Amino acid sequence: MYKPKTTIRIALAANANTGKSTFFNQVTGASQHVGNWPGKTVEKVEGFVKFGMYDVHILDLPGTYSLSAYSEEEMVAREYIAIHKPDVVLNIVDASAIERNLYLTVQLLELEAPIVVALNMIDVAAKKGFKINVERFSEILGVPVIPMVAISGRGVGEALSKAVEVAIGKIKTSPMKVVYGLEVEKALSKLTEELREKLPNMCKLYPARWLAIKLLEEDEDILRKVSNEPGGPEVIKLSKDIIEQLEAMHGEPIQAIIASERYAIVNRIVKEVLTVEKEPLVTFGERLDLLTTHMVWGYLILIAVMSSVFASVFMVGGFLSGLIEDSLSTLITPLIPEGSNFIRGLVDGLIAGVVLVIPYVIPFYLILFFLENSGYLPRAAFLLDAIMHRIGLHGKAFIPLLLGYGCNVPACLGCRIMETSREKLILGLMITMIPCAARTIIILSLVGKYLGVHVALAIYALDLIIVFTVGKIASKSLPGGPVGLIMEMPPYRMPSLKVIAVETYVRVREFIVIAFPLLIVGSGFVGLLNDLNLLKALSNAFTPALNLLGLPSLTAIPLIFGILRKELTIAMLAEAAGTAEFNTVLTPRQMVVFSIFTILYIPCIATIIALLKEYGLRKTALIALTNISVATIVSALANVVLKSVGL
Amino acid sequence: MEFEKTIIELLEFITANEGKLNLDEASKKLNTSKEELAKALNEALNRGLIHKFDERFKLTAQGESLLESHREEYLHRMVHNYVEETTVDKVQDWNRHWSLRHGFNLEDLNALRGDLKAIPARIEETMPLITLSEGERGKIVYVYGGRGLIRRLADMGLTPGVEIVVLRKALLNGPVEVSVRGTNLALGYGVARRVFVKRVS
Repeated sequence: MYKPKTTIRIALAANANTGKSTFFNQVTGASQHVGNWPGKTVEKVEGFVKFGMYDVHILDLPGTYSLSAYSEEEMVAREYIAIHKPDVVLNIVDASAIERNLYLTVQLLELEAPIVVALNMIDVAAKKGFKINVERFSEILGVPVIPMVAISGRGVGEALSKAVEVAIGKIKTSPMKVVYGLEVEKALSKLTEELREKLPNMCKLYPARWLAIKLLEEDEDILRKVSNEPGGPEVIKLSKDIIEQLEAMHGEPIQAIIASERYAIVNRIVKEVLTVEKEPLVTFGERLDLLTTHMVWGYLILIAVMSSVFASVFMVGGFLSGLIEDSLSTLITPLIPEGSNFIRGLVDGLIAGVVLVIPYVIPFYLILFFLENSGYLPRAAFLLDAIMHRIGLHGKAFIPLLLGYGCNVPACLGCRIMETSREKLILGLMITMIPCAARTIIILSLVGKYLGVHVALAIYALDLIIVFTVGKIASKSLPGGPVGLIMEMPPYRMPSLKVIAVETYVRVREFIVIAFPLLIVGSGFVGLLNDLNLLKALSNAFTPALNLLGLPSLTAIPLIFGILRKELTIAMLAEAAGTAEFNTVLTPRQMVVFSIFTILYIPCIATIIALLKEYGLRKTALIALTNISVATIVSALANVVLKSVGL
Repeated sequence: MEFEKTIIELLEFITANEGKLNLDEASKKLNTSKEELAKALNEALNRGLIHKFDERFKLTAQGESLLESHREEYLHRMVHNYVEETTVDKVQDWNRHWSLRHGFNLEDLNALRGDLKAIPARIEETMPLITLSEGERGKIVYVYGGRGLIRRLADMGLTPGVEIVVLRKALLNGPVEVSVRGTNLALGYGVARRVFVKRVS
């Protein structure tokens, strides 16, 4: 008999690029919640769905290829499954890359998790000429296997209902035993016995046989945990001896032995369930892959894609933001009581937020998720790996850098795709100096408008040089070495518009939640300072420093506002100057220096919050201080150089 | 990276000259500018790899261990060269090269050869994955690296014995795209150099 439950916890586990998030978005829609795993920089994505009488809570575990201690993602996934024991683990398997995907399935079985397999992209597999015997598959694994095409919704409901049925015990499963080769099995049973005897407490937390496998794999995390237990060192001693024997016998490092045997188990399953009916044709996607990684065409396409991303975001954005700002101002301004800068500040904050989100943040995310879901981003990372290596990062680092041009906040959050904290820090330093949409507006409406687009582009180019120089210096001076690139190149796919829409919605909502309160409160606060006549004193305090850079004292207030939000800078400059015709109050040299300084001097509050979340106080302070020093040095230099050429 | 090599070369030079160091002479022998060597010398002193004693330099324990690991790597490279060169029947060139460039005399070399032959080692004719061209097939033999790297690559499907196809190589020491077990992977240059394969035709 099973106990009726009303809440069911399902965990989704899969390789990256298997359509796991497509499934998740299809099922949970906009009910998702994006948070952080406690103490980790890994995203925790949860969603809810009502299924019959059940409240189903779905946890989207990070996409991983394995359950070793390689990355925080893998640690999070296996700790959750082992310790929090979800009612069922829905393992999504890419039917068109079944071999690599089953490698994870086998590890889920080792973890003794109650699993249901959703065989996704069965249509793609069919196109490749793969015929999969689903019944036999289910028989071998001893768990339900459901064919699915998540992108069109086929099989999604059935996968969910089978998962629920397993969770409530309506379907009894008898998961396949994962059996290694003779010698490894002998080693495992010896170790398991020892573990049960010496570390009974740990064996209550994790399956004993799984612990034995991890000890054999020399898993750093499990080794640490075992060695901290009384009796642990003896177990480790035994496992070391066994490893030595196995390595001598096989002539391979133990990690290669275990992985090879796991793949052998996988291959036996694949052989039984998969028949290749025809030679796979070279698909359009494969041709596109070869074209987009080509050493000439690839780079040309990359340049074209990037320029059109920026052009469309900034041209559409520029147009829309002007339109929205004008209409909002004419609508709301008459309603604000005269004389209260505080209330006006609050309203300005809200308007600025809307003007940032609708024209810039939303289109940027839409394009980004389109590129991500289609599979283009890894190609770009592939092409740029060699360049990124010059600053000690690998190609994947290009993605957060690109994000930075939209908004620094998601870019800083995106740094978590990097493997080591060293790389994250280098990237953080670089990202905060990348002109986001708001800073681009400053450049365009000051330098671009009065000195011409070519000067604005020159400032952009200068900024890029500074960003890379800072990256290079950071990578030279921070301890540790670069990490090599190991990245899957998923096949090109037509992305689902619904998934892109849901992902964009969730991210934009997250952005609004972080940024809007700060925008409104921050600008209200400055309005309050103004009401209390404190702004003047504050700006006087900064004047001597600004004069060093050749900037007039009226730039102090805009720069103070800029710490809150960069997009306030221009409005505040107009207010401080008493005119929007900036050429009457600033010389061309001052415009250039001001623009350079604004790009670099300090990340906005929202970015600082994101940095604190990702990096902690010390590194955030380091990043902010670096920004201030670089901005001061570069602006002072620019001032001197421009003066000497007679500007 | 290059600077690191200069430091090691300097340590080698100091050891070979029993602690005497004339920067002019060293600069000529090592094909490195005097400035660069002076910088390396400073760095070595700062890091505590050497210390100066009575006008001579002496390696510290730390310097010794650095040199030792470098020698170890050297030997690995030599074994590879040995296999490569002898198989194409250029022993003469090889001898000349190692005696002129690296100061081994013929007896040393022959002794080494004798030692190598006496060791019941398993020397395979492998090559780094990076040397395969686009479209070529290879069989993974081993990964030369730390256990973390070995496990990661094995997890991604690159286990000994598996066949791969090189699909694409990026420009300028960029990554290599390979097809393995029905999926495509991009491996950075530094990673692909550590994966050793046999060519399959």
